[in-house]
Amino acid sequence: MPKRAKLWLAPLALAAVGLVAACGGSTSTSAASSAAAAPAAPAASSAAAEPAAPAASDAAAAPATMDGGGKSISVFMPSTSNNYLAEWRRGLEATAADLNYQVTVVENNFDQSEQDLQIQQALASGTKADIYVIWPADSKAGVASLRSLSQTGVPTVVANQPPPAEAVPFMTMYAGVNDYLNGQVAGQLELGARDAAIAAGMKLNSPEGNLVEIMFTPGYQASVARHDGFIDATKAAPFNMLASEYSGFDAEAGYNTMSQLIAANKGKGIDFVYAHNDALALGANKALNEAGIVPGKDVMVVGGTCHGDLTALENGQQYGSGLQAARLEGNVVALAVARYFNNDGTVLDGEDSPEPSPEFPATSTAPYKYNYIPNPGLVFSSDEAANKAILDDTVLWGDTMRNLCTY
Amino acid sequence: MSTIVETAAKPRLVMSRAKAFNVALAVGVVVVLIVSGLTQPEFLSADNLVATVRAAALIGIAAVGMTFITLTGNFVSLSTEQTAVITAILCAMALGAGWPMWAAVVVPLAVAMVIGALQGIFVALGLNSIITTLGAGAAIFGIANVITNSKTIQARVPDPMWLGTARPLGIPIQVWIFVVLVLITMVVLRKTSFGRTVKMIGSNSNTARSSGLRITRAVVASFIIASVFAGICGVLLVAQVNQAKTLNFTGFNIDVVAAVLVGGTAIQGGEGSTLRTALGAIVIAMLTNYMLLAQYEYGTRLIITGFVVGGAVIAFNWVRGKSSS
Repeated sequence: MPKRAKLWLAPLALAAVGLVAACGGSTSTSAASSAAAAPAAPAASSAAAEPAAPAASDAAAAPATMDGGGKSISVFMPSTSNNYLAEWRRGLEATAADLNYQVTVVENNFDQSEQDLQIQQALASGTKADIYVIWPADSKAGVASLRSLSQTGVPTVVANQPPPAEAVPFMTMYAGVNDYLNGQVAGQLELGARDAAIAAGMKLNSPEGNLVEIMFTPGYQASVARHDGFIDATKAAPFNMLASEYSGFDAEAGYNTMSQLIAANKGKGIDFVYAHNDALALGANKALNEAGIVPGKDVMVVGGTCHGDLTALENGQQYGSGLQAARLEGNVVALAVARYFNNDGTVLDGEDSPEPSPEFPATSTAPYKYNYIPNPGLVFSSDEAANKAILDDTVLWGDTMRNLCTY
Repeated sequence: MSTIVETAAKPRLVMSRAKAFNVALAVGVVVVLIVSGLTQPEFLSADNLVATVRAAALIGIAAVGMTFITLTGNFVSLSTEQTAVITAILCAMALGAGWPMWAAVVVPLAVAMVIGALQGIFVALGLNSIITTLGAGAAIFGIANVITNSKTIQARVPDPMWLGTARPLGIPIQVWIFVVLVLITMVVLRKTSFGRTVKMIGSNSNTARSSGLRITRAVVASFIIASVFAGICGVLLVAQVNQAKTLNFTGFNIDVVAAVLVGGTAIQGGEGSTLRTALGAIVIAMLTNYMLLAQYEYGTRLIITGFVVGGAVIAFNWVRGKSSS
């Protein structure tokens, strides 16, 4: 290495360290800061269920009656390098701590074989947890590990992705998101968007309205369930589906997919967009704007999961979004565990789909076989002040939409 | 005597082969354009072609940078994706912290430069480039997770940055940057001693060393170029979407390597060009776009793309083997 090069590398390294140090504070967001003084209900109208307007509640507080006495929860999950999973873990750990449970987490790199190995090693160690939680890297391929865990006699909770029917006997219960419901909520939002568009005098390119769907990656179960939920919710008054295209998870993927869909359907015209999450919707919005198509005016965009950049919701370029919060999904797992132990291991048949509520659920009754988080849909308008009020004033399980959607 | 004849003939063979590759790729692009245009009229619309090249731009920029590494005989970098991610994150953090735009662009690129230089030094010292970049990628990704706490970093720039949204003459700024970088790197590789050194190292490192060429400097510089170009992709992403997270650029390494290989750059080094790499990225993007327009099933698209990438690599190797035998 030439001496001169060494000299110029040193200040660059220092600059990097300085940048990280200077910017460190901007990475964190306060989860409960705005929950202290949430005012009255937002005026948003929505075809989908909305959380009731809350008076501010304290930050998510688990029921105090379900003390876990320090029982152990052993969690096997994919990597928290994914923002959603990281937020899920924070939610699980926060509620578990409130309820006096000890949590240990073993992460894998979205690799079912790696998770299988980790579980075998954990079981071989001879130390059993009081309860296992498995977020399978792959819901179908993860059945073998689920069976291994269940064969220990220790109750096993499945998170995020329900197992296939043949593996249901191996799980004690499921706790997490209902992706089919998420798709239904998006479908209802899109129906509302069509009504709003027609009312605003928007000329549709077909009697039903031309729609493109931007999905996650192929083989991802959540995408299949969301698509099915959307189709079912709109089957009475279906859209003219121009394309249903796999994309990815982030804004760049949404941008690339949408820009090509715009070109591919230029002759037909796009009236509606359904993106499976708001990051994809954000990218789609960018592509639409660049093509001279103004979201909220020329085309109505609905996102599946609020996440990250809320600008499009604030300025009304995105018509609606589903409030599916990763942190609540973690909360509900810990809550289901506590309800299970609080009721001597009783699990009720059926499913628990709680209505959106501003208060953290205080129930201590036995959990159900399927325990879902609420997934309200919210509608935004061209009124930026009203949109900001929706984000700041809508409270679900003790926290604002803005906080729940920022991770 | 016969040795003299052979060494005199070699450069002519290499030149003609390089030209043949360029022509083959250009013909490939034209054939795809004609066939696609005849079967899918929307394909040849200006909007669609711009969208296609725009889709290829980020992959193309990173691939053009990686071509330098491949030309030196150090295969590919498996830390391109992670370098782009951390640069994007640093850029978003800087903008979020209120830094001026120039600083939020320059400092993360300087960090990318350091990242590339460190990897280049290790490789120049004799470490395997695949292992080095694989390890570096894991470390960089880990750092990215730690400094973001696995959260999305918002740039918090009130107005969209021109660097992400400008369209001079109706062409997205990313495409202009792609084109300019290709032109600059073509000149560097053809007209500078550094460029010739890079190719010579890949062709025969022993000869290059015995000729007194500065191998270490060239290898380190190649890694710096690749890393900075990946960093440019990160900056462009933030400029466009106003945020960054560790999930960005998923699968980027594979896409970039595919572009380099479809462009016909010899994986063992010594032969290739950044123009061909750029065409490789565009060919893949055009193919993907055509299949999307023609409503091919996703699985079918993957199969065809895989065959095209594999077929191109095999064809280039076959031609290379024939012409050198």
